[in-house]
Amino acid sequence: MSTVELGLRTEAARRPTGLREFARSFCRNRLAVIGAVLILFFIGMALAAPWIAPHSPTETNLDRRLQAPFWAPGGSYDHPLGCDHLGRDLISRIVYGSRVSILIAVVVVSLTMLIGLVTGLLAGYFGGLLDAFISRIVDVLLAFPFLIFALAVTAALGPGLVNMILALVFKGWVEFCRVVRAETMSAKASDYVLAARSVGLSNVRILVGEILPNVVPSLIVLGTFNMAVVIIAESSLSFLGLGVQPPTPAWGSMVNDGRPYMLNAWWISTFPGVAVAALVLSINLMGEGLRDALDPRLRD
Amino acid sequence: MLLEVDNLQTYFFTAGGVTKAVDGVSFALDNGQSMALVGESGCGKSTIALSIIGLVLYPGKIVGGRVLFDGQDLTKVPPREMRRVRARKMGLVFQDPQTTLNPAFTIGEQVAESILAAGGTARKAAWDRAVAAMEEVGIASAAERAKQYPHEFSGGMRQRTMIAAAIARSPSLFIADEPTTALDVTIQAQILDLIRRERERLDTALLLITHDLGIVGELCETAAVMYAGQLVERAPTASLLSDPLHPYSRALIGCVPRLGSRAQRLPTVGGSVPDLANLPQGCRFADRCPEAMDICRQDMPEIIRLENGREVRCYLHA
Amino acid sequence: MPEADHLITTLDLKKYFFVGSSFLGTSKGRAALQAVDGVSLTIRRGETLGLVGESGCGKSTLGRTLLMLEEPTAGQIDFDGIQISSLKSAEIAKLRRRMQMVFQDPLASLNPRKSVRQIIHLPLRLSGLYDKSSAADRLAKLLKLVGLAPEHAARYPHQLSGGERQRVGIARALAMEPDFVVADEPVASLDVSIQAQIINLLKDLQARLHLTLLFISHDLRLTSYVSHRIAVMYLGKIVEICPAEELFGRMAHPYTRTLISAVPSIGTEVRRERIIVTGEPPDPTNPPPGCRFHPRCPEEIRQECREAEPGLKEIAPGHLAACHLIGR
Repeated sequence: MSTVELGLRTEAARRPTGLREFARSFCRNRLAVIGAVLILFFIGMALAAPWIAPHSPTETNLDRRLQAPFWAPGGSYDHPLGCDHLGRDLISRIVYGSRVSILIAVVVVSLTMLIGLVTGLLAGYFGGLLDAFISRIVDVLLAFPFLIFALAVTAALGPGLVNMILALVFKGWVEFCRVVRAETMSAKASDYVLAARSVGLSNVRILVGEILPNVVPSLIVLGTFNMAVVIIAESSLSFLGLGVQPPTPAWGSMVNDGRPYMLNAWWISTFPGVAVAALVLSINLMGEGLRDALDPRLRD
Repeated sequence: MLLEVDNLQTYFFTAGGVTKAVDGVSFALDNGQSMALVGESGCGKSTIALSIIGLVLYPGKIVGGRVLFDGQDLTKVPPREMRRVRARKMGLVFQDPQTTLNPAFTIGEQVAESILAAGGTARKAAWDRAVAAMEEVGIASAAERAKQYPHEFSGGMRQRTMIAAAIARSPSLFIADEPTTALDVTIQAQILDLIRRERERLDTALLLITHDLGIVGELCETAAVMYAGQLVERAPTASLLSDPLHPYSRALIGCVPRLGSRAQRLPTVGGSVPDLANLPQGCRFADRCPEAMDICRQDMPEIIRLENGREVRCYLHA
Repeated sequence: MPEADHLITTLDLKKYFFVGSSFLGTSKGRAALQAVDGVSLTIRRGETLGLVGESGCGKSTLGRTLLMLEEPTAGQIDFDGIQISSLKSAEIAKLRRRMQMVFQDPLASLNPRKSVRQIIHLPLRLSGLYDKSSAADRLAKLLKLVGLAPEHAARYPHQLSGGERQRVGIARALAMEPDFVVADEPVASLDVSIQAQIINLLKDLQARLHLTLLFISHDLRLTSYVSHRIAVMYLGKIVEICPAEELFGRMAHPYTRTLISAVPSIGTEVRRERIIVTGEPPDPTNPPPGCRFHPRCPEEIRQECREAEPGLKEIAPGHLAACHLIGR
């Protein structure tokens, strides 16, 4: 039978959906591309810190205490964004500080995504007692306000980078678990999963082979938004003195350091604050672009 | 003439091109008459209905032709006036009562809303009329049930509610778009009966949009077949169903199995509907037509009026 | 009828769903939705049994339960002599190859993230009948069998038309060379002309591959066209089974008669008298006592209709109906 007789679409075969199609629809969204470029810029900054920072971030020099940025009286091109209350170069601290923020964002989000994915899949697919158990844990953890929780954890374990990561992961996985569980439950009820069962696939293969690919896009998008949240959380914790300890530069603690000097040396708090805002904004922009590009319905 | 659609053209402007959803459709409907627009998905029948009631959404636009209703050209009427026309003179019934009823409001409120939208009625009076309309369409204990919410009604009951809202203002024209497609066949029978009864009682004209040839026979005196944005045949329903002239009409009517017949194969038509953004030069059905001639592929056939009042768009009947 | 000719036999099959929220995931204290409530039927090898009924009658659930995609609440299912209703899931998995399903909504039943090739390849490999190279061959043959072109293998579901998607669904079901296929509303979401194509395809395939087919549909015309025998279902019970030719001429059960009279006639068909059934379909969690249809029955019902459930009785050779009013 000819294709005409069969009533088939005779248009030229279209390229299957995949990396290329995704990249194309992503790049159509200009804001998302800007976000992505900015993120790459920050990552580059973090990686190349030792080479691009003009000075050491931790070296103090009380002569240059509270020095203004280069366009203000008393400033110099040597320290373009000025110095903080201990005479440390602000630009170098910001550059090195990006390492902390990005490291934390990546580590925390990866861990929380993984834990949330596994628990969500199990809870959503198998239901029953397992689901009840996991859901109650999720409910309890969600009831705690985040900062109170982080305070409690660091009070118990002591401040520091690793403990802060632990606190963030411990609280953060529930968000992912909820989303993955909901998506798994709706995928489980769909006909294509029923078809997979009718073909004789085992539960594990269905979870991994059929449901997981459909859950991952939402997970990725949620992950990018979550990164922004984590960065702000780290800033808050460092601001409270619970996170990264001095003299390691972290944007949050830098903002805190500048608090007593807001009126006469505004730059100490402001520039790190702007850095946080810029990174978070770019992550959000890219996250929205990702979401739109990954949705097959919006693609065509 | 109550409704006159004159060479209506509604196009959709998308990134992929210009989709000519309705491309030069003309027909007329007089007071009290009933006509069906029949066709498969993508033929443009729903777009015609939306064009008539002025609800074509971006990126669609009426780009040509006129819709004369009760003396006004609806394509030139401002949205405010269009809303008044819709509320006062038209009764609309859509396909899926699940999505067309707002789950946050009671049934009574929604029926009353359509009465209030036409203006000139007080709130209490609108409620009373809504309840009366619900009783008229056969909803038992209408006064109590009007206070219930859509999720408490079954599919058939919800469709009755839509009809109640449609008849409440005694409109001169019903437009029903797939009114029974989502319903079970026994409930469908009830609803068809109801529509027929109300039409007779109010002497309202009916424009029915459907793909179901069965209900066309139940409700409409005339039927018009649509294909790829154009009318290809128009005839009294009985004649069309028993003796279709256009090859597409014949294929469409022929591929529904007859009750009690167990022929070996259902006659089918090969190929598929042309891309409405990329239409062929001649007759749009030519590449699938078993009787296509050379002229069919070169020149678009015009509508030919036959002596018995029937219309066909086909060189075979020139 | 010799037993060996029956591929599927069920005995008083029941499938209840427990609705409402539960405490800690148990089914204590929940209302039972009696989707399938005591169905005993047989499907002969090589025949197409049509299963008709309106929404909520349980036909889809029955189809899925026959394939053990839903666990029966009670009753027995025999497949080719094997009592599958009492098998453990590992043993059922082995039998899966022989019984497959075609779903209603092709868009929902195809994994949107997989290509046609991947979708059909999976059951091919799972069947254990093909190795890598012969599987590619078989894939090409399957595509041809259902009327698709080789270039369709690389496409994704959202790039196909409704008819093409349904063909993929059929190819997937046939990949494991099953004996029994359940088609659950296979053409309901398609255009009329595409429905005809797919129906022709199903008929052809059944004849060529000697399939046993359960054709579930609410569309009486299509079902009578495709099936050898037809079973009518109402509220979880089979109310009538008869050869397809007899459905329109000699239907016996009052529900069947209202169902058929409700189908609008087309063209030169003889116009039947319309029997309008009153009221709404009842609640499957709370079915009426006695005959389930008695509150809406257009006939004059008797006391026993209100009290006792009628069983399926043979009223003519090969024709069974469940009604107290017949034969008196």
